[in-house]
Amino acid sequence: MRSAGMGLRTRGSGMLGRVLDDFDAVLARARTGAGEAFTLLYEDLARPVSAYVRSQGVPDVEDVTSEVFLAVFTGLERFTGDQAGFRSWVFTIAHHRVTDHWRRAARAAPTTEYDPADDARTAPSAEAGALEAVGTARVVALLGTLTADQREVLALRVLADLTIEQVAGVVGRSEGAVKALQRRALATLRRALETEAAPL
Amino acid sequence: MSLWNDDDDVRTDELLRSGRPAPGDEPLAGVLGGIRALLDEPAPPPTPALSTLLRDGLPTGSPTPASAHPPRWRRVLRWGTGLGVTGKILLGASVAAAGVTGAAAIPGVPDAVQVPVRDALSDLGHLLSGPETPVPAPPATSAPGTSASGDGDSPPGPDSPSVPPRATPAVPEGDDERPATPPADPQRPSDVPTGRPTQVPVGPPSDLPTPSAKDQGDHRATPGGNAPGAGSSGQEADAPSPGGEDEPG
Repeated sequence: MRSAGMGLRTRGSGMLGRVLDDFDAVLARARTGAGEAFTLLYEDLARPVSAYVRSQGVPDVEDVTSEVFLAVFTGLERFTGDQAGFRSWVFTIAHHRVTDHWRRAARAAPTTEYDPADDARTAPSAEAGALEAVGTARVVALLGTLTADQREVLALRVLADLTIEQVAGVVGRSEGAVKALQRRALATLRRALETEAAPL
Repeated sequence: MSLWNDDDDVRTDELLRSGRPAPGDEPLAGVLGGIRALLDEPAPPPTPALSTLLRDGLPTGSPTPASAHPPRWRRVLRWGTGLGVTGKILLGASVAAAGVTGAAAIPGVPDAVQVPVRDALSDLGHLLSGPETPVPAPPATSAPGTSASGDGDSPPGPDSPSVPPRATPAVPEGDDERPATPPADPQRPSDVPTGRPTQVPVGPPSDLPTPSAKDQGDHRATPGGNAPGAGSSGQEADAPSPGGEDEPG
């Protein structure tokens, strides 16, 4: 797999992934089945997609993320749009793969409550320094206090860097409903933080 | 939307997009920063299938799920080109006959078209069946006026319904031959010899590719990339709930 350096540049904030310099050309090559174009697209979006999948509590992040990109690369001929549209389209597929995952899981086994003690991601990693203020486990635990829809909207806004309109398209809701979900998600998080800070 | 909501939306948007908190939102900004830090974790390694795809790409001209099978019309065309000369002639003649007779059988076609076609087909029937042999007249019991149910033994009286003039005993029942003269009611489709279209041996419907709803849906995209409803994930589970009344209790 080639490095991500060529053809990529960081976004303005430096936190929301990268953008391809010549997206149209890369997409055109990808449509012909070029592996190097697939790799560029994958390296552009693999982190946000996997972060989104992880934020939804999916344990099989690797499998679901790969499923998303397999669907993307084998369905490129049906996509039309620009880079922002492509990003939104990829997260639409990711959204449905996550939904499918939980639907299958619900049929396969009863759901269990999230317990941070059982989360293997509490182990420190090389990126632990970036999570000093709020650890991954705590983030996932806080996200667990939200409803699935609230968590979905928040992740798509923060991790996928999508606009309200794009999120509405991904989840199939109105922009007003997305705004309401977002507002309630933040209110729930505020309450959770206040509860944690309150003396017992 | 009220001004308060507008301000709140702007404030929320600023918080979510840039991470810059409004006064009092610092703890919340910290949580959102933690969520954003999930992006710093490396992506998981691709599965073997995806690794192969990234390394080798898709072979040029490889059948994609949507084009793995040619459309039905192309398969029929391919089958037709594979026929021999005799088969093509027979197929063409069958299709032509079916078309002509079918067109003549349409009630909406004017008599100026139906009558000549019917005459021509009748002549063709005579030619194919050889010289017409005299047919003995049917017995008197089958004379005009006999009801179809067979309960009309008595001849029709003056109040009986009129007898169709075409029920002449010279024409044998059930014979393919038709009288040279048009029937009294040329509009009746049952009087017109209808050709049977040639059965074209196309593959059963099960041969056709039936892509799953998942693949169909996932690949839908619109300019701008918003593809609501894509994927097999049932939207019934994501039914809009205006107002977001799904806040946990």
